[in-house]
Amino acid sequence: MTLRFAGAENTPVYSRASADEIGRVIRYVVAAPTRSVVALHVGGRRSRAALVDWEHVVGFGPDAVVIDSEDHLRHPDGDYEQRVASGDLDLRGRRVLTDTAYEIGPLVDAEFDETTGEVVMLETDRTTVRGAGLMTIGPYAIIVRHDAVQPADDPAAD
Amino acid sequence: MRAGEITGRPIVTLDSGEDIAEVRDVVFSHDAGRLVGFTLNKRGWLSGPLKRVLSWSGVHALGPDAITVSSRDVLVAPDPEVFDRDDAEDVVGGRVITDSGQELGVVTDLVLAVDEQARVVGYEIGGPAVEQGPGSDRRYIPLPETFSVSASALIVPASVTGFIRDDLSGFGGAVDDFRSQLERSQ
Repeated sequence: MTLRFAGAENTPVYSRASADEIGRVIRYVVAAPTRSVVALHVGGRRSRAALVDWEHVVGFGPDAVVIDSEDHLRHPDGDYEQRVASGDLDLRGRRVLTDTAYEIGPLVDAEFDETTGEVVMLETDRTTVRGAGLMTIGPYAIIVRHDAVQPADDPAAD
Repeated sequence: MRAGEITGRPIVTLDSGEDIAEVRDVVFSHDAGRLVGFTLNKRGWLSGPLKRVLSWSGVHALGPDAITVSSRDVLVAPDPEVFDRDDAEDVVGGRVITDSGQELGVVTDLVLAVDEQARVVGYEIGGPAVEQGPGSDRRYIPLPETFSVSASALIVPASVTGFIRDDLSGFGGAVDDFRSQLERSQ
């Protein structure tokens, strides 16, 4: 099953070890090379904003995210994670550009596999892109392979 | 596409998704009939000329919204053999004259066909000779594969007048038809 980034934001995050609610999902750390969510950015009531690696996510459902232990919350590591955590690389609303230099609109949402974290689809305001086409997430644009862009519907065909 | 449309276009890296520069000027080799590279400006508030340039060989794609490159490493110091050649001088403003002695107009822009190379396949022309005629104040003339050009004038075969277009839709076909007609007549 897949979940959408927008729909899963603000989902409460629980620790399986303590059963405490330790915060809520506020962002996703996506690794473009593997086209997958590799960590969640958790902001919350009892913890300062921190990351938890995907491998410590036990379950990701519509009502809650369960991680194995709050002990695995960590600070952002490296420039990319720092920029994600500070909101500089927020995905939704970011310009999407093909490698052939065509803008295909701002990112509206994305879908990911709840068990593997694999990004399976990106959605802009005018088209969709297969997750396998994700190349880079940068400050100017999210870059995608042109051959992963779904052909636009032809209004004349209606 | 018209060369003038490229000015200001951002240079975006595929490896980091950054806009590292923007096009200041498009540089041509008119001998070779193709685009050879770009001089650049910085982006943003500190915009100003960059010392480094982008050669055509460093371009991944030239699209309508950007120029993509693999990384910032492709911006290099300008090669004077490429960027300072006399034949790279701007032809915009030069007169277009047929080999029968008729002035068709003044070059206002260059028309490019982009694939592995960005070849100059036509000129946009304006000026009194165009404005006195019917229709738009800009027209598009296809170019032969080889032609004589200087900074002041371009000499084209008189038969080009049958292939002049008012806009760029279908211009690629006009270029092909004109060149085929030239081949048949040789």
